[in-house]
Amino acid sequence: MGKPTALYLEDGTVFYGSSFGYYGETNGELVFSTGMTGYVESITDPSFCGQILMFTYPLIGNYGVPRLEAQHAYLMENAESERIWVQGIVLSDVIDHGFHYQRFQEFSEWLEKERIPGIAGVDTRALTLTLREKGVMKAVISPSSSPPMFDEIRLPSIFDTSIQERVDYKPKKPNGKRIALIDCGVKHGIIRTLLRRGYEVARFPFREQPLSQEDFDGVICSNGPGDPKEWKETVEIVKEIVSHHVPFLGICLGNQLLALAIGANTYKLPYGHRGLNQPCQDVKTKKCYLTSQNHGYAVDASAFPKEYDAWFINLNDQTNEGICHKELPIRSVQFHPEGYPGPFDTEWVFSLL
Amino acid sequence: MGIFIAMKQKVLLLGSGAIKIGEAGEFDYSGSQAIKALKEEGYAVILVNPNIATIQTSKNFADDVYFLPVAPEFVKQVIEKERPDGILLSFGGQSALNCGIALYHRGVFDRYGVKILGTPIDAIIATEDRLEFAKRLNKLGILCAKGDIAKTVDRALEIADGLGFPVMVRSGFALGGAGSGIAKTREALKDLATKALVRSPQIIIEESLKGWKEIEYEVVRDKDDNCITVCNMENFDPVGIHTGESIVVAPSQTLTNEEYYGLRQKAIDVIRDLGVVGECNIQFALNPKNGEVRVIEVNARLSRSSALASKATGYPLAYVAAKLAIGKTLPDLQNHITKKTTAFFEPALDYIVVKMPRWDLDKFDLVEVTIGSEMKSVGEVMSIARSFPEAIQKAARMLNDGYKGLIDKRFLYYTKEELTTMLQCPTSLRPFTICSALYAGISIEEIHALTDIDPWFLSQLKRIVDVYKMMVSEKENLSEQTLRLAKQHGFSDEQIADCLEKTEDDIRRMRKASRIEPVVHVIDTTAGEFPAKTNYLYMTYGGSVSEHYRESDDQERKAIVLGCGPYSIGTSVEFDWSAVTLVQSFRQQRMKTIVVNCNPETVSTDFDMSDVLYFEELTLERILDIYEHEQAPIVVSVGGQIANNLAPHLSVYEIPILGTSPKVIRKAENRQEFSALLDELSVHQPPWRECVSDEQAIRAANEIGYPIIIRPSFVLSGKSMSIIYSDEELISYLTIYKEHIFSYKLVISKFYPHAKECDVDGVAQHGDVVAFAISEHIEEAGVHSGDSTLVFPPYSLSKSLQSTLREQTSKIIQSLGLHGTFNIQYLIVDDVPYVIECNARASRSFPFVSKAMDINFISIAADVLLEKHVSFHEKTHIPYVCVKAPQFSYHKLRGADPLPRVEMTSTGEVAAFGETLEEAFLKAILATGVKYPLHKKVFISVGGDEEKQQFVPIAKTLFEHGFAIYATSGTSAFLQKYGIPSGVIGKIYESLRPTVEDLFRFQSIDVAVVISDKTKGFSPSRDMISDGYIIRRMSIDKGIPLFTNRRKFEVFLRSILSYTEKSVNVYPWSWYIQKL
Repeated sequence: MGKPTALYLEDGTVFYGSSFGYYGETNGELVFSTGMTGYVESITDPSFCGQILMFTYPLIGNYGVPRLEAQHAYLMENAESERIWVQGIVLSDVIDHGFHYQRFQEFSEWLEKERIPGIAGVDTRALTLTLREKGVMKAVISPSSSPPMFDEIRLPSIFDTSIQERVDYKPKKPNGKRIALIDCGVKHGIIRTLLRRGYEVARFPFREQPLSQEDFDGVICSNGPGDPKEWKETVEIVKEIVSHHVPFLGICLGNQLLALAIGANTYKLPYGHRGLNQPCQDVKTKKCYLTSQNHGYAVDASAFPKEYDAWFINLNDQTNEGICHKELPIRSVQFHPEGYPGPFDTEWVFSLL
Repeated sequence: MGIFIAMKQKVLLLGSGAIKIGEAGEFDYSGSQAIKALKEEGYAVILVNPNIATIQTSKNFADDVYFLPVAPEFVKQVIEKERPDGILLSFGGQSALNCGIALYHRGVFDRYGVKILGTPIDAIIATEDRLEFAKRLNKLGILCAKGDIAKTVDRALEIADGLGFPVMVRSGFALGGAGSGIAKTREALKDLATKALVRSPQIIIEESLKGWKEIEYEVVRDKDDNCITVCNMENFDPVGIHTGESIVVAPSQTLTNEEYYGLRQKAIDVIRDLGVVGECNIQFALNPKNGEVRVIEVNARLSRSSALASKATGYPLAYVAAKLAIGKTLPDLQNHITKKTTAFFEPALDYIVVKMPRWDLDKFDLVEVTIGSEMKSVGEVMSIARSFPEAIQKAARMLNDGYKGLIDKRFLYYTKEELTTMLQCPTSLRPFTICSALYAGISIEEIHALTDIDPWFLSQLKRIVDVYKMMVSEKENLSEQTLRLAKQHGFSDEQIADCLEKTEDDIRRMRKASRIEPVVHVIDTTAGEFPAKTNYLYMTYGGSVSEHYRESDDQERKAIVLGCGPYSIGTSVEFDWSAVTLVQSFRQQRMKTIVVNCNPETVSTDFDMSDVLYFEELTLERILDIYEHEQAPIVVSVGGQIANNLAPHLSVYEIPILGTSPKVIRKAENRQEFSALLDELSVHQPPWRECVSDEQAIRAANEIGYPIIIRPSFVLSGKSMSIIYSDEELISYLTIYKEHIFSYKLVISKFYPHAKECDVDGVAQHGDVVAFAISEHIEEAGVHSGDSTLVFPPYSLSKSLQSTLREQTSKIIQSLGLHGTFNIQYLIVDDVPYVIECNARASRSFPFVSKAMDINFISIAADVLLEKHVSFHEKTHIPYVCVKAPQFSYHKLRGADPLPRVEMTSTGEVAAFGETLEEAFLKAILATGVKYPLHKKVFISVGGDEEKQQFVPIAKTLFEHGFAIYATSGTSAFLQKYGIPSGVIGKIYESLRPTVEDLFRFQSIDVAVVISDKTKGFSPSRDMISDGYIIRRMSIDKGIPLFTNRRKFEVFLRSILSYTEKSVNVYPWSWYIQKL
C-alpha cells in the first residue's frame, strides 16, 4: 500500500486514500470515465489535458502497460499520444501485478516515471454520484494535510496539445486520397485509422489553414481539450473550409468547432460524456451505434442554419452527437469513430471522406 | 389508415423440462421473462413445460400450460390443438431447441402455419454442425479450432501432423465424451484414436487450445441490425474446463482494450452473418501468448451464461430477446433500471462479478471427481463486490458447502508435494487448493505452470493469502487497520474468528466498535452515470457510504424474504417458486418485499420481482447486516434448508421472524423434543436410539431389530447414511466410519422395507391447519422422498387412513402451535401411519400440490403471515391424477452409480396430469427422458430370492404381452422355473457370451430393470465395482432407460400396457382443474 494522500474537492469534500504512481501534488478538473478497459489509451488522450481522471471501474492496471512504440516519428502505435495528458488519476483498486504478454511495466511504475500522481482506495462510486449531482469541479490530489487554495490553481494551456509544425504521413496501401488533419490535440488512433484506410494524412497545427498551402480531398478537425469557444482561430479556419465546400469531418471538439463555425452554439454539460458505451442514433436512418466518448461540452442543436441537420443524437440524454450538411459532404461527430479505447461501430464514418 | 384490430396473437413457448445438469433454473428465468414481455404486448402465451416446480408454470404467467414432455410428438399435438401464430424456441435451453429443430424438419410448422419467432431456424441449425459452422466463420476471417474429421487412425495422424501436436480428439456425442482427450504425441494419438474409432464411426482431430483463455460475449441483435454486446465474461479456468464448471468473472479482467473490443467486433460480425434476432452467446479462446483467437461455440439461444449476464449487469436479456422476437427494436425499448435511457446500450459495471459453480459430487458413489470438459456442477452462485478478493470470498461462502471463505484452516495442512499433485488435477476444491499452495509458499509462476490459470487471478488470490498471513501474525492483537483490510478482502467474521481463535460474534462486536461496516451499493447499469429507478443492491466493504434507494410511500409494512441460495441436490427451483410466490402475494397486499438471494439461475433475483433485491450471501453475518439496514422481520420458511437453518441463529440476535417461531421450528426439527411430543400425542414413530459407541450401537440395533437406518447427526456426505440388515453389516459400517461418526451422536432407527411412504404438505394458522394435501409415493420406504414418484391424490390409501393422517397431522400441528408452512412425512406400515419427519417450512412438494389441486399453499401462507384470517381450503374430490417424477442426471456424471438410495440424488422433477394413474405416470416418465418402448425388448437382472420371487408376476405380464426378455443367468434360471423364457446374458466377468455389453450394443433394448438384493444393505465394498453397478452404469451410458425399483417398474409396465404415446390425452392444465 502506498503512502497516505488525499483528494480535495472544490466544494470542500475530502477523500483519503493511498498514493500510487508519483508521490506528489497535482490539480485539475475532476472528471469520471465509465470505460472498463483502455486505461493506457485514455490517459494518453490529449483531450484530458488539464483534468484529473477518475475511473468508475474499480480495478485498473490489470494488464500492465505495454512498451509504448512508435509507428512513425510522430505517431504512436499503441497509445493515443506520446505522453500522459491527465493531471492525475483517482481510482478504487490499483492493480500492481499486471499480467499480459505485451506488458512492459506496471501501471503505477509508468505513472511514477511520468510524474503523474494517483490516489487509490477512494470510494469512486460515491464520488461519481457527487459529480453527477453537483457537476464536475476542480480538485487537488495532495499528501498535504491542509486544504489547497483552489483560486491559485493554474492549469496547463489546452493549446499545448497541438503539434508545432506540419507532419506528413503516408499509408502502406494508398487509396489515392489526401486528407488534412487540423490538430487540436488529436488522438493518434484517428491518424492510424486514416492510414489503415489508405488516406495520406497531413497534420497541421491548430492555427494553420491547411487549404492555404495546398488542396486536399478533405479536412478533418480533431478532438481536443477544453471549452470549444477558446479555440477561436480554429473556428475561423473551419468557417473558411466550409465556405469553400471542401469535404469536412469534425470529430469530438471538431463537432463543436463546426457548430460554432456555422453559427450554432455550444454549452457545458454538467458532468460530460466519458465512456465507451454511449449509445447514438442516426437521426435519419434510426440505426443505433455504441460509441466511445470523451467530452465535457455539447452542441446546442436547437438553432442550426437551414442547410444543416442534426446527424446523430445521444440515446441516453438526447444531446447532439453530430451535424451534417443537407447536401454537401460536410459533417461532424461528437463521438470517437476510431475507438481506442472503445467500440468500432462507427468507423465507417471515415469512409465518407 | 384505418384502425385495424387484430385478433390476439397466440404464441407457443417451449420450456426446458426438468432441472438437470446442464439445464437448470436459468430457463425458468428466461421463460418467465419471455412470458412477461409477450403479455405486455397483448399476446396470448401457451407454455409447454412439464416442470411443475417452475414459476413460469404458475397461474397468472402463461395463459395456459401443458404439463407434457417437450418432445416433438407431444408438441405437435399441442400445435394441432392450439393453432398458435408463432413459436419461441430459444427460451427453453437445448431441449426446446432440439424439439423445435425436429418439428421443423418434420414440416410441422409449415403445415400449421406457425411462424418461428426470433432467430431464424437455419441460423440455429448452422450453429449445430461444427465443421459447416467453421467454414462459414472462415469466410468472415474468423477461425474456429482448426481440425478435420477422421474415419481411420491413419487419417487422424495425417490431420494431426498438419496441425502439430498436441491435438484434441473428439469422439461422437452419444458416448458422453468417452474417448475424447488430448494427445501429446503420435503414439498417444494412435492409441486414443484406435480406441475411439471402435466406439464411434468418426472422430474430430483439432488443434489443442489447452491453456488458452476462455472469454464469452452475450450479443443482442434486433431486426433492424442494431447490435450490442451486453456483457463479456472471462473464465478463471482456462479452455479445457467446461464453462459450467469454471469460475467466471464479469467483466473480463485480463484483456486489453484492443482484445476486448477486437473480440466484441468478431462477436457482432458472427451474429450479423447468422442473422440472429434476439440473444446469442459466443465463446472465444484467446491465446495468452500472442493474442490469437478461435471461436469455440455459438449458442443462438438464451443460455446459462445469458442468465448470469443478466444478473451481473442488470440488463434483462431474456425479456429484451422476447420483445425483439416479436419485432420490437432495441431503441424502442426502455432500460428498465434507469427508466430513462433505452435498451440500446452496453452496461458499464463499477463492480466485479464472480460466479462459482456448486457441485454435489459427494452425494454419488463412484463418481469421477475431477472437473473437465463435461459439466457436473448442479448449480451456481454469483457474488458482486468492489474487488476480486472480496467477490470470490463472498462467492465461496454463498456455495453453502461449508466454506467460510477461500482460505480455511482446514486446508492449510498439506505439504508442498501434496499440493503440487492436487493442483495438477482440477477438482471442485481447486481455488481452495490454490490458496493453500500460496500459503505454503508455492509461487504464482509454479501454480500457473501446473494449472494454466492466468497469473492475474493467482496474484489476486495471493492478496487474500497475504492478508490472512497478516492476521496470523497479529493473532494476539489484531489492529483495526488489518481488520478493515481483511473485510475489504472479503473475509467473513467467522473466518477471521477462526484465524484468531475467537467467536464470530466477538469479531462482529470488534468491528462494530471500530465502525467497520459494509455499505449498500446500487446496480444501475451505467456505473453511476445515470440514477437507477430500481432497487437492485449488493453490499461491500469497498465503499464509504450506503446509497439511498427509491422508497415507495404507500407501503407501510415490509418483510425480508430469504431465497434458496444455490441449486444443489435437494434444493432446486421449487424453493424459488415458493419465495417468488410469497413475494407476489405480499406485493398484492401492498407489503414491501425485500428479497435476499445469491443464485443467478432464479426468478427471485430478477430485480423487478420484489421491491428491493439484495444479491447477497445467505449467511448469518450478511443477513444481520441487511436487517440493520432494513429493520424488517424475516421470512425463513420459503427458501428451503439454508434459510430455515438460519432461524435459530437469528433468534439469538432477537431478530423478528415472520411465521413459525424459531422455538417451534426447533421443537419440530429436534429429534429428541419432537419424539417426546409424538409420544405425548400417542402418534407412532419408528423406534430410534442415539448412540455414542460401537457397543451402544450394536445393542440399540438389536433392541430395535434389523433392518435399521443409520445416520450420523451431522452430514459427512450422502454416503454415510445407510440401511443396515445385520450385525456384520453394522460392524463393517462402524469400522469404516469410526473416525467421524462418534464425534457427534449416531442415530439408529427402525427401517420398514416394504412400508408405503407419503408426504403431507400444509399451512397452519396459529396451530390450526388451513390447507392440507397428501401425496403418496410409488416407491416403498428406503428411497428418499426427493427421488420418489409422488401421486396426488393418494392412489392406494383408504379414506379412513387418509382421515387418520389428517387427524394426526392436526394434532401435531396444534400442539406445536405452528404458524405457516409445514411438511410431515409418514410411513404406512400395515395401515398404521408412523411419523418420520416434520419440517416447519415449505417443502419440495409445495408447488406440486398447489398446482395439482389448484390451491396455492404459498398464497395462503402469505395471508397467514400477514395475520389475515384464513378459512380452511379444501378440494374434496379430485377427478384426475397428478404424478410427479424425479429427474436424474446420472448420464452427466461419469462413473456415478445410478442407484437411488436413502440420500437424494435426483436433480429435478417433472409432473403430468392424467385421468388415471397410468396415464399421468406415462406422461411424467416420458418427460424425464425415458423413451416409450417400441421394440418390446427388456433386460432384467434381479438380485436375491425375495426380490426375484416378487418379480415373477411382472415378468409373466411382460412375457404374456409379447416382450422379449433377456436376463442374467440367475434371474433367467429363476424365471425359467415359472415357465417364463428368457435369453441368457452373461455378466461382465462371466465368460458367457453374449454379455450385457453385447446385448446393449447389438439389440434395441427398451428398458433395463436392475434390482438389487433388498436383504443386503451396507457393504464395505460399496465403493467397489460390482456387476450390478457395471450393468446399471452401462445402461445409463448407452442411454437405455433404467429401472432400479420394482414398484416403479410395475406402474411403468401398467402404463405402457394401457396407453401408447399417441393414446394419452393432450390437455392443458385448465382442462383438468376446471373439473374441480
